Amino acid sequence: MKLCTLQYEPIDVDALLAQCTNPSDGAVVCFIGRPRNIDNGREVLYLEYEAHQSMAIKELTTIMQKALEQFTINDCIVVHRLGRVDIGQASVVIIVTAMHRKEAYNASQFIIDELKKSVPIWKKEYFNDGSQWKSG
Amino acid sequence: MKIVVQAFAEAAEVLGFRKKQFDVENDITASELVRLLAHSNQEFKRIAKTLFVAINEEYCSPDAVIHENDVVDLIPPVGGG
Repeated sequence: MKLCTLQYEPIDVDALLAQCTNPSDGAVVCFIGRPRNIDNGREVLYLEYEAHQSMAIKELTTIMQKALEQFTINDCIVVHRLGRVDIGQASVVIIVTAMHRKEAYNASQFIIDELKKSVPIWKKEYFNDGSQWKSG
Repeated sequence: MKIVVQAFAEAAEVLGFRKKQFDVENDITASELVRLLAHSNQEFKRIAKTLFVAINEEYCSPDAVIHENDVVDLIPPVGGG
């Protein structure tokens, strides 16, 4: 399964994992990115994400295509949240399956690194006493 | 010529719009457009140097030329993940 999507609803990781059914894949790597409750000593209450949605999907699709070319992987799923994401919830989920773990790990790391560089998604941290845009 | 400018995240906040049509001189470049917007907006000027620009959903260089009816996106440093 190949899937890139953005969604406002919480991500159902189990439902995504259930899509990965290829019996020859011995490795399933699932990366979950979550908001931290502390940033530079300040307590973060929650994050809000926004995106240039059409361009973000395009960029994500390009990253996925590159991962599929560079690594021997099969399923590749990238789901990113939009809107308010509470502490502890998943903001991004990347699932990669492969015959062997090394390719799956490497592809997963490649995808999150590239996502953070180029995909037009932004997050704003909310504190008790204000908010700020946070890059990287 | 008419172009559409889309602003996102902090750029949208400081400019006060998310999508707006502009009438600009022919052959204006991406960096010239950013300078033009920064001319009358100090807050935008502060973040202008960090912006990336995309034309019709493709990242472009500062000297890329904008054409009639292009959609120009002002993209602050991204923060996905």
